[in-house]
Amino acid sequence: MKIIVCIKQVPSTQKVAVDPTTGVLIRSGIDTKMNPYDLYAIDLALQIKKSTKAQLTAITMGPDSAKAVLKEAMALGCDDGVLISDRAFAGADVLATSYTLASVVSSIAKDVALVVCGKQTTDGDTAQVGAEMAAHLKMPFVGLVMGIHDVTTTSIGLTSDQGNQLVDLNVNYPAVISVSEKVGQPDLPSYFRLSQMDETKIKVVTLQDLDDHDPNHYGLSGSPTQVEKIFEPTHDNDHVLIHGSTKEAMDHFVEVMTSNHYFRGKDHG
Amino acid sequence: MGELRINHDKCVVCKQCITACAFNALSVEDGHISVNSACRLCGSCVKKCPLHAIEIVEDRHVIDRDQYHDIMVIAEIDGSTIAPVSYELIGEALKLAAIRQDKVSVAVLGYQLDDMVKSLKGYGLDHIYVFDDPSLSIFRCDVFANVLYDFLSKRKDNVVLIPATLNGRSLAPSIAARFKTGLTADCTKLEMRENGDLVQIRPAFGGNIMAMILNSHARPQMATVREKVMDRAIYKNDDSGTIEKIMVEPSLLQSSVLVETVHDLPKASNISSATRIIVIGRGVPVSDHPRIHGLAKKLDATIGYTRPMVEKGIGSVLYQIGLSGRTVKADWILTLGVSGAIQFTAGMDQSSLILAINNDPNASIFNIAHHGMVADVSQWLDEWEKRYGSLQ
Repeated sequence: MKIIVCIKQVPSTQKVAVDPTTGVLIRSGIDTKMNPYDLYAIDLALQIKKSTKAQLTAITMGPDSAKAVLKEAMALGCDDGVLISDRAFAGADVLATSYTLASVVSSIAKDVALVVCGKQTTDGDTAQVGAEMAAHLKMPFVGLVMGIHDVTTTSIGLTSDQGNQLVDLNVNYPAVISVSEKVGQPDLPSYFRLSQMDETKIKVVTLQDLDDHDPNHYGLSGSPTQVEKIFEPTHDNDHVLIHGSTKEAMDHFVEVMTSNHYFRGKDHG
Repeated sequence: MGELRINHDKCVVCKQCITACAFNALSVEDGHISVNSACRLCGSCVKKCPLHAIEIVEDRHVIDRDQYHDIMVIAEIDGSTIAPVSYELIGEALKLAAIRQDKVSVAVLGYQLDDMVKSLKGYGLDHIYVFDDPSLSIFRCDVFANVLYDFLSKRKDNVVLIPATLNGRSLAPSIAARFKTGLTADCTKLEMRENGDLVQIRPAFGGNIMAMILNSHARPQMATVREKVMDRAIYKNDDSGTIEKIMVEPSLLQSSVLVETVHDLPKASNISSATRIIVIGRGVPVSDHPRIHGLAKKLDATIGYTRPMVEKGIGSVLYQIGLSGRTVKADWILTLGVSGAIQFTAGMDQSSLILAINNDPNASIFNIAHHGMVADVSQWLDEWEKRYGSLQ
């Protein structure tokens, strides 16, 4: 039985700015880390591995430096790692990204039972790649898994968070799932284990390794959406700032609340 | 991939491109520069051309925009009612539709929907499409996506809007990938262009940047919108909205996902439906919290929290406002000792009336507050008690 967990290397900070003259994104610093939501995915995948003796592979798409997150995943207990790296994959939107990942899964693990994803990344924040992957792979998708039960080598019980209700589902493999952070506190890799990891266990997959290696289906060419421009959020100018005594601050508050009929002064009750 | 395009209006046939080309892909034919199949799109000629008359154009499947009209909203069901976010999406869809005289319809999936769908009449909708089947009583992503894709693929909708609820965030990508079309998550602003392109604006990098996204190479254009971002549709009290039941092909309902049990969670046990909110931030001493609860009681408001307060264990995550918590669109919201990080304000800045009290005049909350008051929260509460009595 094979399980694949999809992880991503993300910037450590969300502090970014737009260069006002060129309109280009300026990222402050180049520190990276594993997308924090992926730790929950790895943790759940490890639980399933434990009861099924499955082979667990971590995959990530990114530059050579993204091997760092694969090493982390292996330090946590994944059996091996796959780096998906090719210039043809650059500039991908959600559709092209999910197609690339799906294409890798179907090319390297035709008999995969379960694909496990974090609920979203902290840089893209779309929470869409997992479900799109499932559609490309023609597998069912179960989102926001917060618990598992009755784990066997042919099926799995999943509790899915649907907002106002929790739904227990039983799913025959194969399937793609995303994992909610409500699943429980995940482990962090120890520095010692991380230093023991052998980078040669990481396989690099390029366009030519995929069953579908038509470059038009990947990267910028395979992306139906384009970011037309980026800009800094603007704020309305309709603002009042009272900078005086506490009494003045209270006067202003009471005036605004009463004029909007939210407060009636002393007889309010 | 793409193709090399020569602008013959700019080109003076100086032939510098021909010399620059390493593949003998360019020549002069009938007095014009011509490209042959040897071209590798290396771009050497583009760089060489002194008149910028050569460009590499991405070769795309060109869609015929005029074939696509109308907007479909996928409704969300919450228990035995149509969820409020559905009316917000309908309201936005009607505004977008006005630009090109498009029609707006809604699709509702579930079980025993007869009474529920009647409440969608009178809002100016064209059709209310109803998919009523016991297999649709509980959301299963693959089944819902199969049914909706089958339905939508027989139509030529220009835009499909889906609520960015927990289920919608699984459903929307499942449909978009089946169409091989683009999908923009959590749009905060939508605009319709005359040519039918939908301009989709969403926050990126935790709201530090706004991105304007177009999906000009595929249809339908799909977007999700969170609740309380758009204005609710106005009830017109007319007969609009033809209810049409759609027979669901049984094969579409088959799935390897089986529902075992459903646990209903207590309703409204979170901040997102509150209309009057007082937010406690890091700048308020814990000893003042009881007085703020007293103030909330007096003003019939719900207490909300910022992320640091929830991380400290003071507030429940269900009452956390912001990108990592809930989004609110309150009638009024008063923030006390809240600095106003974008992570927080993105979850409340659509509120109608924003009031903020903070002792730091440079706090960024004052950039979004309609009424900012520089004051010490404890002293401000003293002043309240002096005027209106004890808050304990």
